[in-house]
Amino acid sequence: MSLDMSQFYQVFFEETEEHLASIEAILLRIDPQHPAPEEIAEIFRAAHSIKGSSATFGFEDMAGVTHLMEDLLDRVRKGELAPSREMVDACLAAGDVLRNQLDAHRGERRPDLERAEAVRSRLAELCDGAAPGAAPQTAAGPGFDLAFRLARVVSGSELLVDNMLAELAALGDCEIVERPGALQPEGGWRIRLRGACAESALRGVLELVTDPGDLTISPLAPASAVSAADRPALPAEYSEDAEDGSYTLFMPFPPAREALPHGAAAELAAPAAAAGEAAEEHAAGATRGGAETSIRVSVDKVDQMVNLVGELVITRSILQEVASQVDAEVFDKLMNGLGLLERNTRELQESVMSIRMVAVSVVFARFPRLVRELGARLGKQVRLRLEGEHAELDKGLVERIADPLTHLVRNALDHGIETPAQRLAAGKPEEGQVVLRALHQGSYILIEVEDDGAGLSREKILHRARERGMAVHDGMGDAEVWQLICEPGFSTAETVTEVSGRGVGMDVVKRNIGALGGLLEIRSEHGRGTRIGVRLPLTLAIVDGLTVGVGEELYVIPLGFVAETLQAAPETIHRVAGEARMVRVRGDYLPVVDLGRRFAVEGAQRDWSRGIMVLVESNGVRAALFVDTLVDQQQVVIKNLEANFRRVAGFSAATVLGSGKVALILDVAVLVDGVRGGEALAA
Amino acid sequence: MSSPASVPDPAAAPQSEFLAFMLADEAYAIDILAVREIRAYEPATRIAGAPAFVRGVINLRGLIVPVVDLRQRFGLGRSEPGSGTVIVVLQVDDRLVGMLVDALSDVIALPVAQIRPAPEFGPAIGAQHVRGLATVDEQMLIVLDICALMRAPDMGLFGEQDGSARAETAMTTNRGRS
Repeated sequence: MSLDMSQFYQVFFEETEEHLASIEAILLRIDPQHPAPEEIAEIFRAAHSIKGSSATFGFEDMAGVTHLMEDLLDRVRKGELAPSREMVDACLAAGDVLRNQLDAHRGERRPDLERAEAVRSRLAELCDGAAPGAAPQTAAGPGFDLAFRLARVVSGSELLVDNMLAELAALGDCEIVERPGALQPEGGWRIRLRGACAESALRGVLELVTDPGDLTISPLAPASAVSAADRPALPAEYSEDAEDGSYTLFMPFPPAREALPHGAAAELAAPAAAAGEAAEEHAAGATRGGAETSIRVSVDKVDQMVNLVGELVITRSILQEVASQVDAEVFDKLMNGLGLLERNTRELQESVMSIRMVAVSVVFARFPRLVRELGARLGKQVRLRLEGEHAELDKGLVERIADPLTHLVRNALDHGIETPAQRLAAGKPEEGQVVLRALHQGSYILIEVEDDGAGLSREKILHRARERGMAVHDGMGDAEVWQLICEPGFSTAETVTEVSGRGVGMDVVKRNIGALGGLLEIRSEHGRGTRIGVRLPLTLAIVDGLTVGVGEELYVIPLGFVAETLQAAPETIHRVAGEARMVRVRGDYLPVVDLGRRFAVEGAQRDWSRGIMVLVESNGVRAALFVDTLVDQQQVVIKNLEANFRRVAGFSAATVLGSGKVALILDVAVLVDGVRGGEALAA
Repeated sequence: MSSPASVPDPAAAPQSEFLAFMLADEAYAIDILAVREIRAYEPATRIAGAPAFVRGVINLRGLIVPVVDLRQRFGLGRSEPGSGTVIVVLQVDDRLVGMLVDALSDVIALPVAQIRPAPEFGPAIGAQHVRGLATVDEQMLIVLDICALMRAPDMGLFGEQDGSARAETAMTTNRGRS
């Protein structure tokens, strides 16, 4: 019987990803010197599962790496080897390689054979209990052609790019053939390096800043036969059309030869930075969502389900109407069935809605690794604390806040946290702290990135703004000054100073957050740290709403704006110029928006003491919305009015109620603003 | 009313099929390719602040679709739902628009040559939205360019298009002030 294995591939890919994510999570949290035996066992089990299933599917490369990992862990587990930080680093690197191999099998990426080989030899060495061997600096040809793409975490940081260029310059004469423009920092680089350095040394520098598979090192054509002879056992070399079709790919074949120089590369990079080798998987790796999912559904499909469930509700109410026309005996039975249908439909609706909600931990999962690698690379000691990662928000939002948050965390490390020396001098503990925090606030979620670094410097920002010709003055409030760093002008040029230059791409961050309907709040204290808060609506699709009746019409008020509801006693209603305008609530006079009048609803209650006052707050302004009745409080699906119609002042969107009728969702901010304008006019 | 048999050689011009309908006692026709579906009448949710000929919005399988009262738009008085009233859902570009119609008459095939240029109707319809007049069974049909009519800026249906978006902002500002 022949089995089509390919249908199981997907399961294998997903399972392996989950195993890799859990390996990484454990490696990042264990104490390298004193790992708990259960943790080692857990990594061992995960590696073992990957080994078993990849061998089954014939993915020998993955089986090979996991086999070595397993050997190493087994010896540690049995106490034959003392655990060390190098081992953790090597295992992390192995995880990256496995992920690269996994992607390669999926056809998403080129396998990075060299890095895989390096990891294998490192694991083997560690397993033998040997310290990594010294690097034999083999002199190479006249130089190398380097073609690579920087990892996302690196490309945005000028500091890191400069570091890289400096390190390369130390190895030989660098000629930058091609570098990506400022607009696309993630584009390809090409550098021609002349000098008799070892290829492994180049790798040592570049593997730190590239993703696996994004680096190609090819030797320049040898100037003479002698230098060609210097490179014994030249491996099979062939050209491959790279993205720009212009350079050749150096593809090592006999693994035996590779073992040496790559052991060397590993040594050069060790210890902390070594983990960085394949570190910048984040760009591609973490978007896969860490340990989270085992089934992926596009949000479109879920939306379609939401719509269909809505239709189901409507169909049920049609049936119910028909049922009322049949004779009494059948009616009873029919109503029982319809009652069941209603309950099932509601539950179905709720569970469909909940599919859209995922925990922020999906986004947060990428940051421990990012902070670790970036910290090591910048020579800073940083501890990352995650808080409230179980808070849930809409799937669509989760995907879109990942990039802005990465930016903020990267900035916190790059510009916020000082070097250990600076921190000691400032009387702070050597180790900096970055806190990533998520918390719910009504129908909003607040995600904060907080660091205890140097903070923003008011003077420097103002100085910079003046240089840029912005209209600023010394009397500006702090909050206003901080917002300046989000101005486009601040981001393009080199950083203000290492300390205060939070300029890198903050305008982009602000724009992205704004596009999601969110706000960026910046708080900072010089010398104490900075806290950047991202306030987002929990979801773009669903809102908790208060359904209110005005005359015969129904409207939905987003619950996030509602403070309370009350019935106004006649003596609390106050007249201005002969017209009822305000209501007094516990000593405060609140302007009233009479929805019946505002929307010209026929038959709406005119007597304010007989309907309901819904107290709302928007942008710090409080007001009362006068309605006839409170109908219901429920989650409603937000439907765009503009898709087929246009924006209408006073309404933010529409929704479909259980009856199948459309109800409009009030734009509380606009309504409240409206009464403020009215007041100004009356005054 | 009209019978397909009276139309000369429909196969010669298969493209020009029209949906004929009544508004008050006037007969209109629109290109059937613009029609997405026809629905039984249902009351729409009124939108405060929208022009009178926009009756509101309805739920079309989860989509929010505006419904236009064409009678009111043409100055024929407000349409009162009767037994024949239906909502014709039109596809205009990538949007859906509902249109209240007093009664559907028929689907007829009309050779384009039979559509005669129409005289100026005055401001209510606008000559640019009328493709012409046709006679079917001794009855005059006003053939509308329904997509152009719905797209017209004075319909105010397509707020997002650059020019009208600006106009709308101006409108809101004015409203805020008044």
